[in-house]
Amino acid sequence: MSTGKRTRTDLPEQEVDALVERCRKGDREALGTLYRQYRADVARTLFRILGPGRGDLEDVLQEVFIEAFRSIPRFRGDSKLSTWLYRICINVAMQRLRKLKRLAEVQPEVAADLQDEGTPHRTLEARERMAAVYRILDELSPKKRLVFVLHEIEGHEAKEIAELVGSPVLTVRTRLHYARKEFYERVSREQAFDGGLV
Amino acid sequence: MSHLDPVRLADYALGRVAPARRERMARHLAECESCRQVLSRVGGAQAALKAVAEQSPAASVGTARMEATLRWTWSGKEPRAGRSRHWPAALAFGLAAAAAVGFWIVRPRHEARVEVQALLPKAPPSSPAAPAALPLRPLQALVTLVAGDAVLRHEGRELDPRKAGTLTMGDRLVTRQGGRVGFQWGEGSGALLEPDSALGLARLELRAQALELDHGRVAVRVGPHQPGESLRVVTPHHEVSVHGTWFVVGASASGTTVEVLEGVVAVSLPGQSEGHRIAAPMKMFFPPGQIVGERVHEMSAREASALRAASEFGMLPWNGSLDSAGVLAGLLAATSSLQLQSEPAGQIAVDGVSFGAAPLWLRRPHGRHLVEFTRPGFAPETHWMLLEMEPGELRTSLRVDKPSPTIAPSSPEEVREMARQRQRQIEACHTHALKRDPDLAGTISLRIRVGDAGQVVNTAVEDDTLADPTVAECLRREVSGWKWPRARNVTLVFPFVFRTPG
Repeated sequence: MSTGKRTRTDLPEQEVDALVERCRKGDREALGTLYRQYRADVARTLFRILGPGRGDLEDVLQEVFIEAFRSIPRFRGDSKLSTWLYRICINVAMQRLRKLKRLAEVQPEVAADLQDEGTPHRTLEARERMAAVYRILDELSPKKRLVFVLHEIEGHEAKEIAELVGSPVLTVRTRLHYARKEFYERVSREQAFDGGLV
Repeated sequence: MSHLDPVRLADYALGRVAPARRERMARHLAECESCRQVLSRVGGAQAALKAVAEQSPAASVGTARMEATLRWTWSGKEPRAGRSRHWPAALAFGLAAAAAVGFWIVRPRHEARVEVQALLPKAPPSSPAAPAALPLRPLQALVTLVAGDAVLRHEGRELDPRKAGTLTMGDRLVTRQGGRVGFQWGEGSGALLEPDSALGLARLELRAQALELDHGRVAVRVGPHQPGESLRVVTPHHEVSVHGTWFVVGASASGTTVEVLEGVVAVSLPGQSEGHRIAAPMKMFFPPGQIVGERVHEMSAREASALRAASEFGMLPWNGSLDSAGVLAGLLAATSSLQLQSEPAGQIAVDGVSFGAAPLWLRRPHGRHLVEFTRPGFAPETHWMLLEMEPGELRTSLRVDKPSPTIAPSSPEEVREMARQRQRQIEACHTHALKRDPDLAGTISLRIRVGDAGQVVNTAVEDDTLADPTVAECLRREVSGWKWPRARNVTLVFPFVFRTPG
């Protein structure tokens, strides 16, 4: 499933070049601009990979930018700045997933992340389903989880994922195949998804 | 008849199946109820994935950390290639910075020695905005909390830290059983010395603090928008580099304990560059000579909350520049001391912040403050206090809790009223299950434990006559969010009756 909902903010090319140049020189104002410009995108990506209802999103987001600020002198402009940052974001999220095997405790706090649209019944159902999704993702290995989220939620194709995570396309395809298999097999046994779309 | 593979069904639901196969699958689905159910669940999961893609975290995520992130980055050296080599750079720089400008030293009585070093923010040489190195100037620390048995040793004399009000270089604090002292200094940072500890302020200068700890434990907190955000803790066995805003470090001859409440910490062996990073909320113990943590424990929300509460000392807003004298004078003029006591000793919260057990001496800003005393088995007491130039004092006697029938938190009527208010949510639990079993009916009795603020702290299913346990689970989740305005420290059992529609 490719939802294709991923949105990224990028500045005009000239502005990016100037910003990167200033960041390389350690201009705090430029680093602040970079932070402000991309904070929401990074937070959104982390939110999708790690799951809603997590208390450490701020910490992981901070790690991403610390890593980015330190690495920016090595940014050569081969890719868009947003893509480069996205890659860092994925790497940091991956480390997080590895470190904390138990992830995405989608507790009732998830309600705070969801907009209350529709009837309470529908909201409750949506909440339960989202909780069930991350319960199942928690059971996948971090590598499988990452490719699954990048493909099924972020809407990337296998080739793009391979570039993002630095693995061969074939490896990513295999990983994705098994991730989907494990995910949907668990889904088929999960009552929380009853009454879904047919 | 073999069933369809769930992945195939997922592709089917997404329209990714070739027409011929799709037709075959459709025929199979028409005859196979089991596969239809799986397809329904797969569709539900795909809808949930789509919902995740459409969700965003709170708009404020990360906004409060920008300064801290910049300062942490700023305090390090120019990055070198390779992720694993960043830490050595930062650590090396940290040591150099500490050697140049000062550090805190926490020195246990015998061998165990802990050093807490404040790294100074330093701009890269190329940065035009880099500030010139500030001269070292003496700082004064402001005592903001004193509880229990605590002594200040100042120039050979023993003083009451409550009366002294401020701390200067060379002072020494000693706490005994139950004693605590909170203090903060002109960089918006502060520390809470815990019971049975001894701490000397060997150096207290602008951007350079040196604390000597004979024994015990100290909780350190760094203002989120202040310099010195990056802190280093050096024990005889480890170096701990912290870029968080709140952490607790303990040292003993047997090793180093690090509890990170906010931010990230790196632990390495002295003189070595390879570090082990710990992200909040985590607790780890490091035996001597090891950087692989033992007793690794990810703190649950409740544990982290308890640690926060235990190391909370209500730091005063420290606005203004690093010029300590002016800020301190302003702060002294805008605050007064507050002596709080209850008989018997209760837990004290001021303006919603828990400060621990009475008696307590606090320094708080002028203005109205809400003071709450609580103790299990006693009625909670709430007082509004107007704190002005004169020191404030509040003594109270707590009364044994005798719940009045009209306001009893366990009053069935009050519970029923809450259930009425939340009827739609409760019904949703049942309605959802009715899809699976239209005749599902029965009673679920929940044991509900209410905490000292009226909030539900625990729920358990006492009795469940429904055939579907998901209803009870859903109900527990719903009830977990309830809060009664008057309920305090009670456990009640309440039956929820579910009938079939019509």
